[in-house]
Amino acid sequence: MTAYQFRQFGIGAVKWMLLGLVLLWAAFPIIFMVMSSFKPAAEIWAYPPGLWGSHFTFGNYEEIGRYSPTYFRDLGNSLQVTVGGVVLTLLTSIGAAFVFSRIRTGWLKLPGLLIIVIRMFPPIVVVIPLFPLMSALGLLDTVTPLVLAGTAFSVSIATMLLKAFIDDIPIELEQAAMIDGCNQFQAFIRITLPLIAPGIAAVVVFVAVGLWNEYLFALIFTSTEARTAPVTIAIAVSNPDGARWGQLLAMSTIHLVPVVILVMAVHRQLVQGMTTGAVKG
Amino acid sequence: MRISRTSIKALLLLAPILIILCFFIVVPAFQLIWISLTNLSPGRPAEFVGLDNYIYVLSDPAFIAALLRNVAFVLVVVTLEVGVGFAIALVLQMKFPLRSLWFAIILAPFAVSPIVAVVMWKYMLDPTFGVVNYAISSVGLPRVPWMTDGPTSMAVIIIVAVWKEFAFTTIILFAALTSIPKELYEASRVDGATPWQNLVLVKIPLIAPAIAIVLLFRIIFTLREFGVPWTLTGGGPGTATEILSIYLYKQAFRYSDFGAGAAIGWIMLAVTVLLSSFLIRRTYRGMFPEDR
Amino acid sequence: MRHSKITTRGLRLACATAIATVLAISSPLAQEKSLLVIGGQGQFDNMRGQGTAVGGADILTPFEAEHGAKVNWSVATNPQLQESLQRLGPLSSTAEDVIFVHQFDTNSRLPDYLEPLDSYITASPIDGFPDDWAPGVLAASVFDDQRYLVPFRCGAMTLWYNDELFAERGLSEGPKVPEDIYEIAKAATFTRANGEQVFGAAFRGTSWSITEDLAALARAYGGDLVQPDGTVTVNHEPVVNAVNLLKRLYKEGLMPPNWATLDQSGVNQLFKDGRVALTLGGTNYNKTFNDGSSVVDGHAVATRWPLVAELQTPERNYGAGTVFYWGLGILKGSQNKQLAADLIGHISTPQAVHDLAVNGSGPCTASELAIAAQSDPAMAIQAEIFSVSSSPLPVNENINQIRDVLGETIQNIVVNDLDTQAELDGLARRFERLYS
Repeated sequence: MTAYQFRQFGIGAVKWMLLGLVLLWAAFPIIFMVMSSFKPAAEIWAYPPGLWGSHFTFGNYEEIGRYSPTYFRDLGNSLQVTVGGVVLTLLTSIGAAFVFSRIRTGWLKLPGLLIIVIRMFPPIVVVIPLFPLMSALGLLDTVTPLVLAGTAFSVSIATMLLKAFIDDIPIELEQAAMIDGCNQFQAFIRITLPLIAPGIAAVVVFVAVGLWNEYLFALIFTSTEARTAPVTIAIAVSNPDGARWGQLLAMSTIHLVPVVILVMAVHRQLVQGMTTGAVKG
Repeated sequence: MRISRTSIKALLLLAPILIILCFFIVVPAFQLIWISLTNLSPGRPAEFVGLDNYIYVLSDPAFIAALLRNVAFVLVVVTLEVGVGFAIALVLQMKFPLRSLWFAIILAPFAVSPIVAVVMWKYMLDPTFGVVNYAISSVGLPRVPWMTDGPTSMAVIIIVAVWKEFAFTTIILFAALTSIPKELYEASRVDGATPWQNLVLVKIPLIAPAIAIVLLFRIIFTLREFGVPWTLTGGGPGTATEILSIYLYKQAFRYSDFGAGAAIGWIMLAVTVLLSSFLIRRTYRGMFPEDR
Repeated sequence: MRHSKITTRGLRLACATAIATVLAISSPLAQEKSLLVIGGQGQFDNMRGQGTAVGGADILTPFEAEHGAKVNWSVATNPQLQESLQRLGPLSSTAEDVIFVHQFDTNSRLPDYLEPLDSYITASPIDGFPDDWAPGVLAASVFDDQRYLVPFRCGAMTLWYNDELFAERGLSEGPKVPEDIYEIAKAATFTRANGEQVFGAAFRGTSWSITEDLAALARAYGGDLVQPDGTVTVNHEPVVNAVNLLKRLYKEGLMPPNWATLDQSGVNQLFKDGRVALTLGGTNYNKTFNDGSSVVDGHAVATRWPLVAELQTPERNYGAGTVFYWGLGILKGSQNKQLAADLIGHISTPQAVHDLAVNGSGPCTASELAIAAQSDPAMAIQAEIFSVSSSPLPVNENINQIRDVLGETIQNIVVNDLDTQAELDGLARRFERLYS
């Protein structure tokens, strides 16, 4: 090996070691938790800790129903909030993004500014006035306020992201379709929307992650029936009779795996969305 | 004034979003002003009390402490996020095969709910049996008594917060680094600059605008942090980790004092809007470029 | 823009699947009569005969059979349970019917939240009620001559020690005067050959728990945090001594270093693992500690609370400790009030009270306490304490804030080694505002 080769090899090794460190920081907590959830309950706190237990078991998962009997219903609530919020967000913000991208009228600046400002709003600020209101409407402990408030805090970023994606599609494509007799919005739906499908996917995942993980609204607007999974996990972690860690890790793994897979699957669009959101929007 | 057909069409398309925003954010924000001027408590009729709530909150040493603590918390978290995020962006700038896969992995913490993040870190940071202290002690360093006092509790909250959000800064700064024309630092390398000089004198100044934007974004979104500290420590021990959102929550939902909670909410909102005014203006100009 | 493999059709399919899923989940399940109780996991385990009471009688099943209704449980942990009362109480309609109310919440807001119980009890009287029940506990939940709670799970805080560890360290009996706590803790703190650390003493350090522990310690020094009439004495000498005791135990490593995060479960676990020699616990913990699965089985001994020497008399040479209790109430928004009242009646029958006591829930009736005291020395201590002691603090509408402020201050003093008198003076000023 020449000195040059040796040096190149050294640089390569350092490079991969750095990458290894980065991946360890990002992924180890997740992997460690997922693996530990399959350890026998008695080995959760084994010392020294390891990735594998003495054998692989679903025991912790089977025990969830005993001490958090509502957990699977609560996951269902989370799913309802997520899907409902995503659908509502898309339905409302695609139209708005079209308007901000394709229509130029002076008064649009006002709603535009509103949408920009609202993105910065801390959600905790509105829970105080919303609580008595939801109570008066009889909507507490239902998924409705979670879906609607969740949507309200998602439409802003969704509109801005979608607008940025739409801006990238030349308007001439729509104009061509309009010659064929479509009106402008129809042309937009038929021509542009399919072209920005990846962008829409990024928005869907972005919004879905936020709604699936939402904690504050669920903590305040629900008590039992509409309780979502994060609230149930938070209750289990602070059980005064002692957190049952085996089940806690199992519950957390169930909650985490679907979104992590989703995010990793569309990471390309998500990266693009994040960059667009910060740099353009 | 004649209203054009385009305007009507635009209004129709905007109506759903405006209705939902008004109903859930705009109107409540104004109601919040009213509530902050009353002694509203659930189940009781509210009376007008003027500025009493603001006087109470602003003269409560616990509020001032929470505010200062919040500022320190935001500064530390955001600095670490940008530091860690930038370092990782630099690592990823080196040529690696399968780069897309590494990005997918780095984004994973972004998907994790704050509550689940609390569970996993609480598990890993157990002072006696946790894997982190095991790793620390096996390289011969003293074990850290995580979550036993103020500083170690705050440290855990900071670690979880940074772990959850560093991906955002990594991605933005990576994009900014990628957009630097290669010729620029190749030229400086030819001039004999070391990699370090290259970084400090060429790269960082060129991506300074991106860093500024990331900083602002993260400051605004870290200011409202609630789930992680609330489930991890509830503000304790003592009030060592009590930040504004926790102080607000306790006033409103544990002490049933919606008036005081609303006053804190308004103070938080004002600080946020003030901090974000630059970003708002910038985004607004991006959205309506003809206004420039 | 980069195009990926996600097609419009795929997107449409995903949307359709998602909507179908939501519809499937939200379609109403077969409705059956049910009652929803919101309370702690431990109380649920006591009733179902599971958890620490595993193998005990399940007192809810007979009720469910008799009324053809299912009793469901919504688990909430301690501070959240208090918040639930405030959040659910004012609502006109709630899914929850019955709620567990802690002694600290028996303040004048209770009538805003709960249904008066008198008419239900008159219509179907509870055997032995109210004569057999602890009078102080009963009186606390009566406002304007209306009763809002039926007491459930009464207990007293006392000291428990591990006689095996005591013998190992040459100790033979529990503390007689509060200074003994320090001496015992010092003697019983040691490191085993295998590196395992044993702590001499453990108290609870979470903000929620400190009130009870500190009140009990202050009473051992002959004082109180706040007098029953609301006079604030939290900066007086007995409380200062009590805080200094905690501070010393913490500083010298005689208590676990994570004291500030130790709640009842943490303390119990350490004690059951044989890693703590002396701890504070409920008089109803015989079952919790002396249970087959714990290494201290048969070695957990309840002992009376100590008292400073100059206050000891021939009649009473032990400290007052503190009492605790929970009550069952019906939420104003309940849609099944009659069924809820039936459940409360069922749980309060002498048979159910007995079964619950066997399952580890401290009884609130004198007759059951007498039965339990025959076989369980801790219950005899509870009977004593109930005759001389009271709740740790007088309650008012600010009680949650009072407890938080107290907990935070004590944690600050102990963990950060601050000046006790100065901090307690500051606390007293805040207390005076909250008690005025």
